[in-house]
Amino acid sequence: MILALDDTVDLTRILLRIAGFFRDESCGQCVPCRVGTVRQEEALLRIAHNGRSPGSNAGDILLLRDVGQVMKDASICGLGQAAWNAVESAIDRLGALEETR
Amino acid sequence: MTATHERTPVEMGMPVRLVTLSVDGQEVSVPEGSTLLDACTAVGEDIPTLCYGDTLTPKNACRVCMVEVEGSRVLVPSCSRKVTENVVVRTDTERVRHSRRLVLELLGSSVDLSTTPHVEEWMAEYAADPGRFGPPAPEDLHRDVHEPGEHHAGDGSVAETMEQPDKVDNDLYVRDYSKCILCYKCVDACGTQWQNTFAIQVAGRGFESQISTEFNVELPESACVYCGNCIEVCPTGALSFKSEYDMRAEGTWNEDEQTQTTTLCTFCGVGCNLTLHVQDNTIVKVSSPHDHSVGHGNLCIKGRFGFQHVQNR
Repeated sequence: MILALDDTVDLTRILLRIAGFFRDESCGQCVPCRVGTVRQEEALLRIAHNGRSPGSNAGDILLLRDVGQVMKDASICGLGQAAWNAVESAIDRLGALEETR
Repeated sequence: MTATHERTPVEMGMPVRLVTLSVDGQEVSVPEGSTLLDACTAVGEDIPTLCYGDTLTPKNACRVCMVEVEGSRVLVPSCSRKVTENVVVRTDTERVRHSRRLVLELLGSSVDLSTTPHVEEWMAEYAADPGRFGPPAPEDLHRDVHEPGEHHAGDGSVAETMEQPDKVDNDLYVRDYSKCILCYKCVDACGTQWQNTFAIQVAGRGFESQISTEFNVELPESACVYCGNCIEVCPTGALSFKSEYDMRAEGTWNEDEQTQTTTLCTFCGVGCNLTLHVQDNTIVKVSSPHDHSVGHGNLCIKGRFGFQHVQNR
């Protein structure tokens, strides 16, 4: 899926919106998705709140990668397996979250 | 008339084909219809399981038994996936270990696993750190209330949990859902797979899921028949005998001092087997052997809880 946004958009807030969506849509049957979508949203909330200083989000980005990987590898269905796609591509391709505003 | 030798036919069952596969480089042959977990166990691999139950149909919910299968895009649950000829299974790759570690961290950070057998060893083996998601959120008094619409996100400063008040609403057993991993085993044992009572189900969805009676009424008001077959299959101690719950609260519960005696239930003629757990000459809990041909680990209220008369001295 491709989402087209211009450069005035606050990526962290878009990612938070997407993470919130996946958390709401998780059915709750399997652990990686049920708890993973919550931990993903919590990490993004922390990043959104503490923002500024470069490098300060490294721990939460590692956490996002770890949680994302288990959701992708071990969730029962496609919802959990895709729940971290947007966050992954924002970190890897756009360098988002590292130096938020 | 000459006496004939009477011979009793011996039940052999249908012939079973063996399936050969590879587990961590070792070739192993197991009967057709076995699971990958059976094959892994056959070669001596110790795969952790939580939602798997030997008397229940796999629900694939906990994702702790995941293994890597060559050619599969994602990891597969070994407790339910059937063996196929020449399949190549790996149980100890980086990907498998990462998945196990994270599942344990996600569960450990959201659920009280203090009475779950083996979990401490697994946490150590996979170097899981459940504390990494931040301090646990305080007890939630409204987990049984399911509001429509979007959830209320906090600020990420605490890690959300299942922490909630224990449900002590009858004299026989207690539901401590702070310890619930939502494995569905109690729901299946109460429903079509064994008891057909349907007193409990999962209410809500996502992280807000809860095991609940109809309209969240207290157990005595619900359809529950107190067979305790949900306690028998609960893997975390979320469901426990009131006697065990009270003794744990007093600090007197000590499994090392308990003996287990399997005997026949005397209440009726069905022939269920009971295993009496005895501490200090007092019956503290009753379970039932899962491999017994009559009950398969299931009992009724009389067998499960009708032991007090034995102790009237």
